[in-house]
Amino acid sequence: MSETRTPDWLLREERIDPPKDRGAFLRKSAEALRFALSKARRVDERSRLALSTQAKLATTLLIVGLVSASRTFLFVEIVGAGLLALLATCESRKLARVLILPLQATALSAIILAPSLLLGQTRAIVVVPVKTLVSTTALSLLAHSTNWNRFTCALKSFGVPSAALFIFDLTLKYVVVLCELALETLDAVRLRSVGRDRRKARTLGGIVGTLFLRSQRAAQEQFDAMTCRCFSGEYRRFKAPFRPIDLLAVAVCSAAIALFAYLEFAPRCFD
Amino acid sequence: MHVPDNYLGVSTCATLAVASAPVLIHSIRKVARDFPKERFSALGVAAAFSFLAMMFNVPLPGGTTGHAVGGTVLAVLLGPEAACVAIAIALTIQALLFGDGGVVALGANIFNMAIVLTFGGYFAFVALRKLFGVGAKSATEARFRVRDCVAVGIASYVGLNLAALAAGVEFGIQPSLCADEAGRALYCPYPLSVSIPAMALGHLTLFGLAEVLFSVAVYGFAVKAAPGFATNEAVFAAPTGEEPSGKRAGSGRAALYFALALLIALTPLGLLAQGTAWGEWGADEIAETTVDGKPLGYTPEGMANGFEWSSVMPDYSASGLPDWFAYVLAAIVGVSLSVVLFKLASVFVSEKKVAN
Repeated sequence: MSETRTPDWLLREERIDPPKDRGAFLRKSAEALRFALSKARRVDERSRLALSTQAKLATTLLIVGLVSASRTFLFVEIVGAGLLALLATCESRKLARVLILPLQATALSAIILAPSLLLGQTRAIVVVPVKTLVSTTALSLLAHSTNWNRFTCALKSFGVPSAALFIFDLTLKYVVVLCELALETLDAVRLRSVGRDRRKARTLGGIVGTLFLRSQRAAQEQFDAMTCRCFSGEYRRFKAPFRPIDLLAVAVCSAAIALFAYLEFAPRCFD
Repeated sequence: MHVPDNYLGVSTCATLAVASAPVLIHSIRKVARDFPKERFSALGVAAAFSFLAMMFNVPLPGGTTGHAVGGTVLAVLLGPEAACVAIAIALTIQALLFGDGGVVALGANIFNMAIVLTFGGYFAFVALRKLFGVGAKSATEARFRVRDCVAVGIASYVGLNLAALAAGVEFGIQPSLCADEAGRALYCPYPLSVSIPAMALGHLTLFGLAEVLFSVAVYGFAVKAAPGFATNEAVFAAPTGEEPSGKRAGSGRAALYFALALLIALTPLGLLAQGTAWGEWGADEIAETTVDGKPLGYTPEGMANGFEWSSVMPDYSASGLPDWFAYVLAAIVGVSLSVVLFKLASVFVSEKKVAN
């Protein structure tokens, strides 16, 4: 009986040290797309303040406008205190998500304004980043407590033209659809490329080109489908029923305007 | 009891900060390890209660004012480490945003109010429970008992007075530690024979009473309206039988937030007390303070040319706003910031590892 021996080549230890590949862009792009998708899907429909979207949008835009126009820092502080109280009612994870973008924006504005310190402008480096923080926090709170489709309704009731709304609506939907598509393509490229591939970066052009062609086709299909369903390009004006809770938004807006007027104009009247 | 900047020498502040650091680090680690992540907002609420308690100034005949801290009752309800962290955060917010208590002296304030008061009061509570016949380690269900209320009241009184004694000693040793060539004090000019009786007078009487009333009220309210808030496992046993339903737990949380809102609305009452707390005078006031009827007559060098922190709302006020409005605004900011900070902390702290 012949003896069965394990071949030597099988027993030899082999070391595999794959050379560094230039594929980091695939991982980074996929991570960025996943982050964008997770944000798009994480919008919490259950708002603690069950205000109508119209009321929330109007209040936020008014607050952002007043904060930008305000020349007294006190007004910004008071609005900041109100937003802080709203943030305190948020659930922990939502709170962190709401604050990420405003903090990044604030840090960026502080970095941009840092050279003003050399010119002796110490006030600007405090006022502008704080205004940025307050404004972006207000917008971030709105974005994280409202679904995108409700924005379309709210914008229509503010008289935004239907064509602009159609583009807005499709853009938001296709951001998600195209993100998913890009993610699938990136995953496919990553799985299929084994070993060192110096030409990997060239595939990026192919991915973008494919995405562009597919988006064109999808847009045409969407338009055809909507035409078949008798969509004439005109959005119906959505009349949200006025609820007592919306009075809160009216009260907040009135108080903000009164406070702004008092702090901006009253001191000069007394002079 | 908030020690302002320039009342204690830099060496005293540094020593107290170094002494506080290990206790604070131990407390933070224990809270991060053992405190359930989903209960971190309770720590924020605790910090908010303490913050508000310190805004209600109580006047003492003679022109000085003081306030409750609430450290002991929070230690009983949440555990001494959790209370220590909560009060340290409240003190930091007060120092940085409102200039209440010094920034350089923050270590001293944390030592007095977050460590001496909290741990001192808690150990007094444990000793009293033992005295009342409850074993030191036997936990009981969170429900209202007169015996526990009495223990909380006495322990909070003891804790507050221990902290006041610590502050009195810190003030009183300054003349012998830091003086110029002419023998005039550089920082707090009053010796131990003045500072300890001055601190003790208010805290043994009205401020102590305010602390007892606040502590008993918070304790009674918490165990009756929001038993889920009492999570100190050494004192309170886990509820037996059915877990409280979501609706009941929610109503407890709502009761706590309602109590906070009510306290915020009532904070302007703290403005009724006129005068400055002993040891918290401004650099312009100290020369006129009197000992045995004689004015001090000079401003110590360290105070006249000392470190000055420009806070956002100094002394809870804002120029251009009525005092009461600024006071309520400060209360809203303090309470909200405490809750937000602890909620954010809960996101970054890893999940509690469930043993067994």
